[in-house]
Amino acid sequence: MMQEKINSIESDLKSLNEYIEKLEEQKKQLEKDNLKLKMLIEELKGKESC
Amino acid sequence: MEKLKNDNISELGLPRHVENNLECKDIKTISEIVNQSKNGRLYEMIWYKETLKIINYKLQKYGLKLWNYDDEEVLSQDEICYLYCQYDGSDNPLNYYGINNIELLTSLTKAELEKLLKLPKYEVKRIIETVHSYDLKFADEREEIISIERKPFISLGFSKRAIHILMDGNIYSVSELIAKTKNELKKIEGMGAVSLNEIIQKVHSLGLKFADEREEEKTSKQSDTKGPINDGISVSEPSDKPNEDKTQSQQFAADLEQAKKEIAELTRDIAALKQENEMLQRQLQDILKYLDIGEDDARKNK
Repeated sequence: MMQEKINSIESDLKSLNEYIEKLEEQKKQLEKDNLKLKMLIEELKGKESC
Repeated sequence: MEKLKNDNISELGLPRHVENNLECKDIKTISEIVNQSKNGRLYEMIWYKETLKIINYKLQKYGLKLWNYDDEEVLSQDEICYLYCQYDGSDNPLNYYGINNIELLTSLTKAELEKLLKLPKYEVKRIIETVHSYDLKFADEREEIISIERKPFISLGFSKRAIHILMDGNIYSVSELIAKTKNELKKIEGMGAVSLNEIIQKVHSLGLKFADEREEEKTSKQSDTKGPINDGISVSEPSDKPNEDKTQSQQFAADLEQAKKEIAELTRDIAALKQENEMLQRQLQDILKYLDIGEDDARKNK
């Protein structure tokens, strides 16, 4: 009984860890996208001033 | 010492991501790099030490250098090759997956490079060409078999979470991992029961042991050779199970708290990044509208 509880908690914690990984990936992707947008804006600002 | 043809940063032949990084910060000439290092502003804008290393290395080829820069370490060819393999500076997948040197990178096969690091095909091609240009080879191109201890964690099936926790503990390879005891691993920040369990099981599944396990094995072998010191009647110690359960449940509670904290932080960061993303999209739309209007005016005047 006790062992079952422990297994269940471990499984829940594992799922939480997986959820955290997904959030970290989402964050990385957003950082990349924002960096690309910033670079594109800089490039276009250069054209704008021409 | 070589001579510069002009002052443009492209003359230095820096890795592409470093050039982009500098241009993003409005540093487009070599003189600007040197001047910004003199007034210290360069180090407020670029703190990633590998970026500063490669900039200083390239400047030195032309008899220039970064001012107020302490790191006099000479870059080896392997380190330079690794820097040129990096993808997006501080945001590169090599760092993200704990591959922090050329030895770990080249212990992968070319197929693993594409599949595990989830790099676009053109990036995989660029990295392969870079490695070859330094006369280095990937695992599938070499005759020797790369031992498990020399391979990066990502190729051995460790989860990203476990890899990041190990990176926080400054552990980047299996050989560094098994040099530790399990107690030393427990002390790494963010190392909860689930991650520790995963790492221990993974190491054992690879047929390897931690330092304390090897020591225990050695000690038990030595006592076996000495022979039995009693008449064979073993006395077992009273069970510590209730105390063990209490410690385990405390550990679970701590892990849960830690996980909640991380989720809250990540959720906040993601919300802020989404806001920034929306603002940048609006800025981009405004610029594109302005450029369209500008072109229309030019056509009308003709």
